[in-house]
Amino acid sequence: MATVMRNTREEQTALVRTHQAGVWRYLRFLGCDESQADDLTQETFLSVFRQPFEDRGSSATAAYLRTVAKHLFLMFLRKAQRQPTLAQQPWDDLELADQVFAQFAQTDGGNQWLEALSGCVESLDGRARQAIDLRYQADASRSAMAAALELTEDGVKTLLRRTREVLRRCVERKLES
Amino acid sequence: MTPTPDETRREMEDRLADHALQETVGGKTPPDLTGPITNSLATPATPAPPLKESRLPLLRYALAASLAIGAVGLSYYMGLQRGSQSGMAHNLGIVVDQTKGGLGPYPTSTPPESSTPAAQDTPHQVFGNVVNDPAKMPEEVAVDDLSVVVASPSPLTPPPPVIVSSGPHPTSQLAAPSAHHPGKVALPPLRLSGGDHPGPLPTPFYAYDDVQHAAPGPEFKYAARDRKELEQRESTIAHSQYKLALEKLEVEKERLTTLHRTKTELLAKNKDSGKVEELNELKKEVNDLEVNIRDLPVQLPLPDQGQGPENRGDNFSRIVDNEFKEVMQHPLSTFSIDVDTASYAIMRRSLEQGMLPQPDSVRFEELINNFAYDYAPPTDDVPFASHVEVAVCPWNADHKLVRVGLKGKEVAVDKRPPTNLVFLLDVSGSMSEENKLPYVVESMKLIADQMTEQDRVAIVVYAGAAGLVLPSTPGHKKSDIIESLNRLEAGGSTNGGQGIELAYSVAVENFIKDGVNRVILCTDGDFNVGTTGEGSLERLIEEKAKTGVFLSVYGFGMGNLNDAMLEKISGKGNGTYGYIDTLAEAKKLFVRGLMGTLVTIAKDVKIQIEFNPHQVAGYRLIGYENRMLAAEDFNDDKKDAGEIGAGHTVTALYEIVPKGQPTGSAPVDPLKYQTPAKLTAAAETPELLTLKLRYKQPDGAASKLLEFPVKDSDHRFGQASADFRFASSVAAFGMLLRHSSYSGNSTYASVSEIAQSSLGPDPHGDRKQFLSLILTAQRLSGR
Repeated sequence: MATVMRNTREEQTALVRTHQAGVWRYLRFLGCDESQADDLTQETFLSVFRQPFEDRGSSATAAYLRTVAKHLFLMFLRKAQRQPTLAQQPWDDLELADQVFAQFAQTDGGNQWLEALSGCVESLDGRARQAIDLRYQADASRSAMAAALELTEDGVKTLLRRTREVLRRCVERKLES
Repeated sequence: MTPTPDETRREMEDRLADHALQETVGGKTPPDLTGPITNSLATPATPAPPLKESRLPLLRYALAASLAIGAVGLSYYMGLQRGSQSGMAHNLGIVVDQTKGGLGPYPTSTPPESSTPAAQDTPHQVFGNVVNDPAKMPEEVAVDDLSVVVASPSPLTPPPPVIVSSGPHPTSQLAAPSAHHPGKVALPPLRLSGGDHPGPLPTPFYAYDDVQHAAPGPEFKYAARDRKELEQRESTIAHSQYKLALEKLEVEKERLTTLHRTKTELLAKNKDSGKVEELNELKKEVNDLEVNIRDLPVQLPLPDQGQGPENRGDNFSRIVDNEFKEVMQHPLSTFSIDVDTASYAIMRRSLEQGMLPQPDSVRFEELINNFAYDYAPPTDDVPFASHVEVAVCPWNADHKLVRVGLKGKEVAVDKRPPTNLVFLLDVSGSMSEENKLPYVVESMKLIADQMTEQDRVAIVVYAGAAGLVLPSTPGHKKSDIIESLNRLEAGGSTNGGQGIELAYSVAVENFIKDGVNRVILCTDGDFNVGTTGEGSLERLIEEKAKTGVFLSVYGFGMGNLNDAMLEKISGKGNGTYGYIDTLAEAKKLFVRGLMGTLVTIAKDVKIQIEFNPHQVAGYRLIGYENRMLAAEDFNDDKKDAGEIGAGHTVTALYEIVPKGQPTGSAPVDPLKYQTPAKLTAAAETPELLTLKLRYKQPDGAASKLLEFPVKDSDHRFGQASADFRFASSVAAFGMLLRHSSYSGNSTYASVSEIAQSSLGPDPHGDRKQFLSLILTAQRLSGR
């Protein structure tokens, strides 16, 4: 496969534009909060650009960037061990986590998945739609949702989880078709 | 029960769906980091040229500590061994372990020299100063700064050999894997070049030096940037040296203490042995050790405290703690509110760099006001509501703590008045560092992003002279604003006075009546051309404030931050002062806190408290030292005071001494010509104090008065609200950092415990971050 050296500022900027969302989402998936993901995404690209970089194509580059991001995140966690409030623990099985994320991200960092999800959310109705809007749009607490939906808090949790499962299947169907 | 792989997979898929919904429905999309990343690339993250001898004075921290250690007759060699090992661990973590979590898509190209099957299964790859598998790293490396971790170089090209630079050794030398540790590289001891400074070279020098061999070269447009880059490099090294020196000092303290304990025990065990000569010798050793321990330096000079005219350091005004006042002598306490938060960000920056902050940089009120508290907003026409709470003081059980909390009226985002902003940006040479101008640009973009058609934005920059980069432009023309920001480059001297003149004139030309009119100044405060004196700049700003245009000041960078000047001019310009050390802080100020930053709901807000001498013997205001007012200033509308923004919370804490307890103040002789004032009937009531507030409307000239009597609720500390407890923990933390003599029985552990128990909802993680800072400070202080 032909490779491209990514060493000029324009090439580096293009690479960042293409892959930053995927790296950021991956870091969030591993357990970073938003600001940690912001910082580590920047650190990932800066680390990669400190030395000449070869672009082997979108998929391989995305995987490589994720690997660098993962190392930086693990370093961050090691540092945070003395400050346990800093970060969530990542998944125990990082290999499986990588597989799951790669399936989600494909070659575009997950943009297609999100686009499909948008359509699937539109097709939701009833209590499931209400739950999704309350949780993700209004940022309502579980107790507030329980009151609004006349459910117990556990019921809210289950409803959200099931709705997400429905949405995930809907997205997969859309992407397959 | 351990989940099955299928359950784990479902859990992962669910988390992905959850995050995807947060993006799609909640709008929490990934940020565009192109600007920060490419701007960081413009100034190299790692220093480029090798350090010259002439720049070595910055190594004085390590040498000072070594001399101190040597002077007290300690084994410098042992210290060096320890430091060396630690340094090597930091510096020479050069093994990339390509195991399961390794660099997947790019196979390794250089297997290690090892014949064992295990080693063959675990190929190693050696790059420049790289540690790419934290799971395999020594602990010392794991706690090192992320900035020294670099990713693999070109994944398809064979990795470059490790180049080790060292004085007596060849400057370029291929390091071979050690026979004892396959995959690890045995390196010769590192030394300073020239041979004048025997001993191992502290870690960060070589860590950076090695990296720079492969780092892309900087493209400097201005000579000033080149100079600043070198200064930045020196500053980085100075901080690293300081950390190392501190580490050595701690090691020696520990070693001496252990030795002293052992010898003392030996002495006690053998006191009846009759070996007089040996016992006398032992006693002498114990005495010597006691002297040595006592003579160890308590604290090393911080790099940011300046090292002479060539390296001025950050500039902070001296702060002297407010003392306890006798209520009979001083019944009134008067001060101006302060909603600045810069001190907190500066303190965080220091701690995250592994240093305790300079005591004078710690302003308690700014630490406390960095956090939002759950005070109810006003329900009537007044611009803010007050909330007073009293409970036992956590660091002195004989005293009480009074918390005065103000909550500014909230203004909905869609009700924000039309806004006329002038960004006044310092683009002088001193702003060329990677944590200055690039952060300024990104911060201003955050504000620009929220402007609408009804708003206007202009950009004025200043270096040797001031210039209008963007005339006042409607807020919806975002691409014009962003493009102007992207074009900014730093270079030249700093004529801040001229910039201020131009920015105010642009703001006045485009003044929006009944709107927000504000100049936003972003600088490191290093004004060195034109109007440079603190007094003249203050007068200039004071004059400009009369135009009705408010000023917000944001400090950037370190090493030459003129905190004292920035805090003063922000106060004179009816504005606030913040410090931006991270993009997260910029988002906090300009996204989360935009309404508070832009929309002033009351100005010249003053607080006066009259204490009831029948209930209170003495009091001490915690913080606000440079906001104190004379009692008569309270009713004087000509006297300037602080502003409160929409939704802002302001908190002030008083430590009070109940009636009958000693205040600790020196006694005053009875007056010869007067008799002390007599108590009124109101003093017989159970009222503890009366809180009085004065404020003006943002465009008003006459102040209004609010008055609230306060009674003691007799609450124990544990009965106080979570916000009260958390604010008290922040105050105690500040006192520990400032070595205040009023910190009572506070310790970092007790502060942490109180803060941990009063985190509350903490939606943005600010309080959790505070917990981690307490731990860092505790570790650095060794307490």
